[in-house]
Amino acid sequence: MVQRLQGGSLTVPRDTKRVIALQEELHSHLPSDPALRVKTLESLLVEKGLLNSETVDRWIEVFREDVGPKNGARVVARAWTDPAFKQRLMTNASKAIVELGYPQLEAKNLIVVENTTQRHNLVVCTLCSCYPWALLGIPPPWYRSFEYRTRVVHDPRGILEEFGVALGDDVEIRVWDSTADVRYMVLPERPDGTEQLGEEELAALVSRNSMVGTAKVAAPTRAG
Amino acid sequence: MDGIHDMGGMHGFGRVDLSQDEPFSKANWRARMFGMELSYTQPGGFNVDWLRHVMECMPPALYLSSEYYDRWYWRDVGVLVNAGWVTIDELKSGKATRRPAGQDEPLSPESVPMILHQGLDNRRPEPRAPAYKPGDPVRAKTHGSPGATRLPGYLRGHVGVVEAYRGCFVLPDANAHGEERADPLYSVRFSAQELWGDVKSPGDLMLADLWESYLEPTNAGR
Repeated sequence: MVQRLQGGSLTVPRDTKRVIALQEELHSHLPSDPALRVKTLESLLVEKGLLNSETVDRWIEVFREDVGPKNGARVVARAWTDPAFKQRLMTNASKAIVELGYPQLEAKNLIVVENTTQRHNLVVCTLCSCYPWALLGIPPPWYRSFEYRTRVVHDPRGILEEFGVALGDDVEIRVWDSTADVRYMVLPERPDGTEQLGEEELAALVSRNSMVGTAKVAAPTRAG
Repeated sequence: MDGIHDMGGMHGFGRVDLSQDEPFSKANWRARMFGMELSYTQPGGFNVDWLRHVMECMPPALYLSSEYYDRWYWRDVGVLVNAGWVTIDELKSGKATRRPAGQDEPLSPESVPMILHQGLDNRRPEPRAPAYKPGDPVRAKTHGSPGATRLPGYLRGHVGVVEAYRGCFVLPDANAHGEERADPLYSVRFSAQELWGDVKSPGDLMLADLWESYLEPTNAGR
């Protein structure tokens, strides 16, 4: 199965059996230490003119500094305080996040699902680790773990208990498996006792896990 | 492909480890693997479905024993060696013996904000009206394609209900192997009762995004 791709003379074979054999071969010939292999790959690709190391640095800076759960938390806080924004978010989330200036990488087709007293949503990608990067950053290790990926679709309540979330039998659970290019973010319930808080203070309460559905947002603890 | 990656519903895995955190800095190999993946010139152009499939072709024991960004390494070297752009000897020595001809300059740091903001989109203009509408019962096909697919094994053969139509998207099964074809995509919901039988909370719901070619009417040929 050899396909000629548009826009160039490059022919790439895309055959499953061939790649299975190739993966076996790669594994048997290369050293075991991933840090060493990755370093060697980077210098090789630079030498071949296929990679600019400064671009790698830039991506790392962007995901360390600009992109992360603070973006999603701001979206949640806005939805809690601005009903018209919330409506736009629930109707077309990808468009609504652009309003706030947030990027769209891995959130181009974003759906926001709302947690209520009667319904609890949580998100997984059983086949790999699809996640709305632009709003939540890079998925945490637990999200990518085999334990979460295997178990959450058949024992969501057991998983939630491990995260400290106990739900009554009357609460409907919805587990969203991100099998395609749609990305999901949970709009958690606004905790009681936060009526006086502004958008920024609210955003500070919203945890990453609450936007994946493995936590609830806790009411602020009153100091003195 | 019924590979090791298709793990939804597998038994035998224990508690989720919530203690893990991982370093993400310019000096860390995991972060560099992440950044490299978004930066290197990909043979034949960026094709997420092919990338995923190449990872799915890892030896199952290696898939299970490699950490997350190491699986990215095996995927990307698989893509590069398969296309003939890199050899195994070069991966061992780190010394390039030749450069792939006719390639443009690699992605520059200045392009990063644009890609971040625009994102990549596999949605396509609709070629035809979707066959199903919200509320329709549908059965996930039992097809066991040996190539790329995004129909998880735990849903195959089961009956669900269309929750929403999401638009037409490039079909991974064809795209991974070099043919771009758009197909209507739906969120389909399945009850725990339907999927697992004897469970404590039969009313819990699992929803997945499934292309029209993964689905058939519930009265089809049974």
